[in-house]
Amino acid sequence: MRSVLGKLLVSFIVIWIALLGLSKLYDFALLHNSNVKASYIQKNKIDADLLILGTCQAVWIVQPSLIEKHTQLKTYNLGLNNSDFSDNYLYLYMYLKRNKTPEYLFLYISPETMDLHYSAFNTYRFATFVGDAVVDSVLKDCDNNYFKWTSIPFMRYAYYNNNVNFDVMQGLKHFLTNKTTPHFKDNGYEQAIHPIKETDPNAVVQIYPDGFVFTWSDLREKYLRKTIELAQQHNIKVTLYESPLLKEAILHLPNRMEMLRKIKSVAEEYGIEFVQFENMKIADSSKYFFSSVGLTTKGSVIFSDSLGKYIKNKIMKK
Amino acid sequence: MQFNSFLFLFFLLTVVILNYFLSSRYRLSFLLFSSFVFIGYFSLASLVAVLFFSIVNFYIAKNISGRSFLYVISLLFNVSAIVLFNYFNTSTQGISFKLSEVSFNIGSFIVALGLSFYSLQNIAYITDIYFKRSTPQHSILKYVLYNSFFPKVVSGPVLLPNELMPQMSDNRPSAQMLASGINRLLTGLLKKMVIADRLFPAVQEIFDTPETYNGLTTLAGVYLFTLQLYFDFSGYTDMALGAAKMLGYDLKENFNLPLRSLSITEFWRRWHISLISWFSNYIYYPVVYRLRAYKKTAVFIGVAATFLVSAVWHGIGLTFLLWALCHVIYMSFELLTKSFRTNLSVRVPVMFYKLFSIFIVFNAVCFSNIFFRAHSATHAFQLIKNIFSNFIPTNWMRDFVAPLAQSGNLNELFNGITTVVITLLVLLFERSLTKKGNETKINIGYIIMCVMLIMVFGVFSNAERFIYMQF
Repeated sequence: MRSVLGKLLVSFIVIWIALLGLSKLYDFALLHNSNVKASYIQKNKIDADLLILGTCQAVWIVQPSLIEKHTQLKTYNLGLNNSDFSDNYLYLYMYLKRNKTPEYLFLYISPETMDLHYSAFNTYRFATFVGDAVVDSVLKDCDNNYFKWTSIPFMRYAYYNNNVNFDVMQGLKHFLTNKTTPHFKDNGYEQAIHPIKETDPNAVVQIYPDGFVFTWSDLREKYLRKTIELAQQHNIKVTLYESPLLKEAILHLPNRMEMLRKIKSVAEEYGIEFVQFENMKIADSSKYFFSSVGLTTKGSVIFSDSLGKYIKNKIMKK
Repeated sequence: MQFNSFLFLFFLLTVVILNYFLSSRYRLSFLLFSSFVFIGYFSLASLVAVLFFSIVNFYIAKNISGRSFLYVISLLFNVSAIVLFNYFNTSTQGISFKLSEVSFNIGSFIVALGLSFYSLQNIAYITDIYFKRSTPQHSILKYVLYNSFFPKVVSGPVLLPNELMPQMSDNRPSAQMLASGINRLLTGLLKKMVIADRLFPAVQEIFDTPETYNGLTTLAGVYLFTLQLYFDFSGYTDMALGAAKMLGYDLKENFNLPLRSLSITEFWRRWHISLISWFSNYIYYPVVYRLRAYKKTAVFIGVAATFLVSAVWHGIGLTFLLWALCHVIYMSFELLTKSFRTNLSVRVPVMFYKLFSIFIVFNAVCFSNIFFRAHSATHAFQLIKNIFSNFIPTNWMRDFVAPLAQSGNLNELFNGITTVVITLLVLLFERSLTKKGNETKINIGYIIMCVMLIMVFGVFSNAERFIYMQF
């Protein structure tokens, strides 16, 4: 029995050390992966004057170059695919730690972003930053099942290993090949990845065939508020914005107005603007949409141009 | 408390340590208590059910000698328990009833954890005593433990009374058993977390939307399901056997490299061995013996009866009957062509014959498993229709890669490829893996390899329930 226990102890110690080493390797690889936005903003000085933040709608439909054309402000798109306000809050927090404070923040918001049915908090994105008090508090709040295991070496990566293994391999490749350019543009913009649906405008309204009733999430509201508060603590001028929504789709959303009223009341509480672009002409035609809220690349050019003009004429003149 | 959860590992570790150091006179009571905690954690109703069925069968067995009426009643009692469990398990609502103003909805799964498995044990016990093949057990504690022993209560292995009860002594587990148990437990965790649960999303995608995919994609989904089922169930069995060994018990093997079988008959000698040996002892042999005058016909009827009972045991539904029918046809075909196949095997190169047979058997099993996994017979026939029409995808990325590798993005593609590579490697080195899992000494290298593979590739966040827990 002593020999069994002795060997088990040796195995345990070797595994513990190996997991610590593997953890360090994953940290290193992920920080060298230029395609991971969190790593990119850690490694590169962005120092933008205007930040775009939000879910995939923000990433795909706001082209910073078109905003810059009108405003002459250095603009960076910090939006994230499949994210919610907790991701946005942590990204803003990490951005502010390494970069100059921007003057303006444009935060994407829509009834969808306030409903847990859409998008999700992606814990694995912050595995590298476990140990930071702010990151830890959000992880504990949004994914405690994950957080409670993070004290075991490597468990912060093991828990969602399906989401990180590829990024680690890619990070090692980027390190070995000295690749520093990300797959997204230097200004953070990414093209929408739905080319198949772009050719089928009829599919757009089918997303809500029987109508969809939104449910307001208190957790989403909490992190919306925390994001606004974090920005205001740094004296950043915050604006909430919603991009155009396909007109046909509005018919299928019975409580959309009620959700918008709630968003407006939150904005008013903080003395910030909530800007909507639902009356833009492109909202009438499904050819500019790949989903009821997602603009195609053509649509995003038109919208970004309008947003740039709006910032120049309405926000910067204040 | 799933076997593939930290909670279970912690529970097992505690029980193993206490069981080892406890005074021998309390060891059995302690194991019974631990089993109650394990079952009670699933639901109190499961605990009441296992106690109720154990006590009733224990006292029936004591008084059954020479009383055929009581024997028939006890058989009906146990069989109806299985059938009712399966009936309510098939319905989504479970059992609902209203008492005064209070509504009850008892999810059937929670009511009857492991009922299908321990009911077979009860039938075997009562039958053996009725036919005087064994004598009634004197200790009710041992009998309840025989049914509720936590490493095997969830999904077997199904044990005959003489396979477990003679081991119920006060002996302390040996160092070899402890070492072997750890090796086996890790092998099971590896199979479940690194292979079965990684295969699950692709299988679910193909089987949940049967009308969507072309032939090749459907076929891939069907192959993946057979692999998922194998690694899921053999992973569970490894964990059950490992946990039992750590407590000083040797449970019956359930799998013996079944995917390398050269015939369906051989496959059933290697797949879910404990259940098949139960069916052989209590269905097949009695039927064949009774009809022995009809020679080959008796064998056909025996096979058909065995698979009919097996189908009902798995669940009430046309899909399980069709699954069983497939195997009845396969086995009848093998019986009729036995001499032809024997002649053929000596005329063609051995390696070719073996590989060809393995290929045919694997495909036949996969085909029958379409019925085993499909939500309905209509879905199953739709999947079969898909396989035989539009075989080649028109758009490989959209129609083949994306459904199998979830969204088909680079990350999921990487995961899909990794899963396929690991699965193939494990299949290729399965014999050595099984050998390592059965070693009676601690192999540091093997433990490290298993743990590291589980940590890097195991599924933690969306761990799936073991497939056989539903039966």
